[in-house]
Amino acid sequence: MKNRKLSTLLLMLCLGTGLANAANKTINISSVANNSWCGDLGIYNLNCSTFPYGTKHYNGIPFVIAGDKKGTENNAWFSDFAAGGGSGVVSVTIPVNVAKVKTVYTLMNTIWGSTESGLLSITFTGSEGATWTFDPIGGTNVRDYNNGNYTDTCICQLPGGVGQSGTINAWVNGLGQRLDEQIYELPAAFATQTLVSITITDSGNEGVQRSFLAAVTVSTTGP
Amino acid sequence: MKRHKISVLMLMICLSTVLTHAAKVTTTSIDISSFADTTWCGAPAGGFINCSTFPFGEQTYDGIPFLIPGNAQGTASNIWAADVEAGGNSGTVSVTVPINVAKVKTVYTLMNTMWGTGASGLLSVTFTGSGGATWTVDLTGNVNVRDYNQNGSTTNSILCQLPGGVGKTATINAWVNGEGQRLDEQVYELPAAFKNQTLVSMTITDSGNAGEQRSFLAALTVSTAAP
Repeated sequence: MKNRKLSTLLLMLCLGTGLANAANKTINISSVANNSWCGDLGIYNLNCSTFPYGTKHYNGIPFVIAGDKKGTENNAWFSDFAAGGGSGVVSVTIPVNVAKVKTVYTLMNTIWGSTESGLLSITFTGSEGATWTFDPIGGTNVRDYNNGNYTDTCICQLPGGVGQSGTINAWVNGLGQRLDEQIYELPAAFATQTLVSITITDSGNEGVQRSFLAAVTVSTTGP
Repeated sequence: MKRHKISVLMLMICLSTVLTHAAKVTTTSIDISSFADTTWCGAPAGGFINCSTFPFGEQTYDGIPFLIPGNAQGTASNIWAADVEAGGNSGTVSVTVPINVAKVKTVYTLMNTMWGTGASGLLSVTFTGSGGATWTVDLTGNVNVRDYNQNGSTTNSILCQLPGGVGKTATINAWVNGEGQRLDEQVYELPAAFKNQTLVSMTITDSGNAGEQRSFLAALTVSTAAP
């Protein structure tokens, strides 16, 4: 009887360890998505119907992009749409609530693009007071979704350690449009906390730079 | 009694799975100094642009450790350069780097080109396993490799992604000096056939020409983990 209880306990512990290794968790952002690919990007007539939705894997990481086949559901949070097409600061806070997150992956690009600083920031908030604000810069951390006249380069590297960020490409349609993947390796303070939320703040303008967010995935392992 | 046996069996399966996942991941930097044929400041034609800024020794890029041959005095060769191997002329040249590491899943190289073209058939990498597995990847300019020097007339872009699965390759950036020069990192996720073999060697075959495209290899690291 004692052996039986012991093996059951060990089995539970073992299963718990195994589940803890399942590190990636996609975050559903459909509740904050405010427009569809062909609703916001469609006005630029740049192949919006080729853009992805649903569960996708890019660079080995799973993402869930909101939307449906008919294109009637919103796909992303567009800061330009949130600002009503004008200037001004807009923001969105995405609840995460996952413990011991080490790495955050986003699919984010901009409409237009500028290498100016101070146009875009992303803030990570932990349950025990940890916060980290990172300012993505055009041409380094984010770029125009459309290859053309604005920002066309990104750093094309992974983060070099904790408290650093990198950006690589996630998706291209072969017609000049793309989605890029930002990789945030959270500061050590987050290792023992729950990542409560992520807030994106956009201070751009039409014709300058406006960001959009298509997906968020968090991981309890390093990049 | 029957339930007890089932839970013991499940425990054994679970432990085996967890231990397999916990098995030590090894990353091994391969010393290529015996094949290095020139220094950053040596060749071709007097050295790379801003050659003194180029790295050597133990470096970590994108979380991966690399060992670039060379010394502080600049007297020890840093790279294997196809152009030097070919004497600055046309013709096919190759180098085979011994690896001899078991159960390799991912190979990382630091490779760029002097000059560069989007033409195919100029450069390939072949991986050879101990049990007969082989994998040849044709590297194309502007996709997998690019000119080490940023300029408007040769190759300036790379895929900028990680491999999407086994038997795939991709390229991201490793190092820039802020003056227009760079080193890129090719990531090869080996086909499944290599999983139970020892990766014996990697062979680079370059069929370019001076003024067209010639590759160089600065470092090679292998890992038993996926990218």
